[in-house]
Amino acid sequence: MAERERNESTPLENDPLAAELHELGQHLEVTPAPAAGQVAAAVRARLESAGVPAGGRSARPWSQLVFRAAAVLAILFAGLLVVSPQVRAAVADLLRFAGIEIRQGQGPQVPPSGRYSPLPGERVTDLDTARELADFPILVPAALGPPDTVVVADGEPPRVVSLLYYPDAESPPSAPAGGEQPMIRIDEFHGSISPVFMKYVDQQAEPVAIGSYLAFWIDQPHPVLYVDRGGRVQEELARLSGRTLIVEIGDTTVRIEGDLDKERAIELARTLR
Amino acid sequence: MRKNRPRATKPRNRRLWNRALGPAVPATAEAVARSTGGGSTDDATAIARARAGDLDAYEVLVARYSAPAHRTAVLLGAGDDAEDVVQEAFVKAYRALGRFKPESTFRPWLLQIVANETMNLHRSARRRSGLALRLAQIGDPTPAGDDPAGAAVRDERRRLLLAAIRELPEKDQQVLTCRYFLELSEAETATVLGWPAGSVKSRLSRALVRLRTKLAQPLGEGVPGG
Repeated sequence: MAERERNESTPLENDPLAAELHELGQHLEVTPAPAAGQVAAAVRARLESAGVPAGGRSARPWSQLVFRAAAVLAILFAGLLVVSPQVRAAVADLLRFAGIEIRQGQGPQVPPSGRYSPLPGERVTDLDTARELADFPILVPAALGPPDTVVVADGEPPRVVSLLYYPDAESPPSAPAGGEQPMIRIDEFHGSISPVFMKYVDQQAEPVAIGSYLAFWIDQPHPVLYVDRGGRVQEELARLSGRTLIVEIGDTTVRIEGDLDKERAIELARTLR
Repeated sequence: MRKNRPRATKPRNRRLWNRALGPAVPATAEAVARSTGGGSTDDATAIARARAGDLDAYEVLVARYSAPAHRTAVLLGAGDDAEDVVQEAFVKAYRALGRFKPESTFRPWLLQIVANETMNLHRSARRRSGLALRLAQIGDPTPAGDDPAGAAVRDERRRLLLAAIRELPEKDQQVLTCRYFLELSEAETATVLGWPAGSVKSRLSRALVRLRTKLAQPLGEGVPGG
C-alpha cells in the first residue's frame, strides 16, 4: 500500500486526456463561494451558540457534558412516556449523532445465530496494529485487559475495530469468521461523522450515565444492521445482537455486547481506557 | 468471568491517553502563543490553539479553507446546499479536532468531512444522483491572438468531455473530480473519499479507460488527441 502511495507520479500525468481534464476543471460551474470572513463568522456563531467543545477530552468542560446529557435524558424520558412520532424522531436523531441509528419496531427477520457474524472486509490483527491503523482512539476496558482477538473491518483506515473476548482465554480462535461466538464483543468506531450501525428495538433504549458520558442500554436481543461508507444499509449482514451498551467517549463510540447484565456492562464501560 | 486478568500495563495506558488527547498541546492559547513567538499562524499552530478552545484561531482556519471546502462541496454534488454543507463540515471538524493527527495535513482531513456531509445530503430526502457537474455559462475570454473558431472547437470539446464524464459510474466521477478538478493527490483522494489507499490508482485508470471508450463512440474514431 505504502509503496503504491509513494508512486504518485504516474504515466497518466503525461496523458493528453489527463491534461484536458485538468483544463476542464478550470471551466466548471462553481457557484460563487461566500466571502471567507463571512463563513468564518457564521461557523463561529454556531460554535458559540451551541457551546460545541473542541475535540479531545481536555477541552470538554464537565458542566457542558452534564448539561448535554441532562437534555438528552429529558427528551428520552419524555419519549418513554409519550412515544409520539416527533419525540421518536428526536431520539433517532440524537442517537444517530453517536454513529448508531436506533429505530423502533420489529426490523428485518434475523435468524438467531450462535455463530460469529463478520463485518465487510474483516481481518484479524493485534491491538497495536489496530491502533496504528484506526483514525480514532481505541479504548480497552481495563477490567477485562487486552482482548483475545482484535479485528479490523471495512477498509483502511478501518471503519470498525472489534475487540473479542472468549470464555476460554487460553485458546482464542485465530479466525473469528464462522467460528465461535465471543462471550463479549466490543465494536468501536468514529461516531461523529456518519451512521455505522442501525438497530431495531421494541422498547426504548435506556439512557444511563457513565461518569460524565452518556450511554444507552438495550436490554433485549435486537436486529443490528451495518451501514457502509456510502450510507447503504447492508441487509444481508443483519444479525441478532445480544443485550448491548452503547457509549460515546470523545470521538469513539463503543458498543459492548455480550452475556452481560446492565450493571456489569456499565462496570466494564467505566474502566475503558 | 475474567476479573482476575492482568490490567493493561501502564505504558500502554499512557500511550492510549496520549492518542486520545492528541500530542502534547500547551494547555492554553496563551501558552501556544508564547511557545511560537506569536507571529503569523500556520495550520499546526492554529489547530493547537483551536483545540485548546481558542475560537479566534479556528476562525483563521475556517477563513483559510472555506474556498477549497466550497469548491469540493459543489463539485461533489452539494449544489445549492454547498454553503450549508461547508458550515456543517467546519462545525463537525471543530468537534473532531481531537482525532486530527498532527503529522497529517489539515486540508484533505477537512475535505473528507466536507465530502461526507455532501454524501449525507445525497442520502437525505432530497436525494440527488450524480455529481451534477456543469460547464460555466460564461465562456472565458478568448486568449489574445487566438481565433474564435479555435475557441469554439475547444468549447465543443469540453462539452463532449463533460457529457461523457456525466455518463460514468458515480465512483468514477468522484475519483476524476478529486484528481483533476480538485487537484488532489492520490493519497489525498483516498482520504477525502474514505477509500483504501491502494484503490484510487486502479479506480482512476479504469475511469480513464471508460472515459476514452465513451469519447471514442460518438466520434466513430480512435481516442481523440489533446
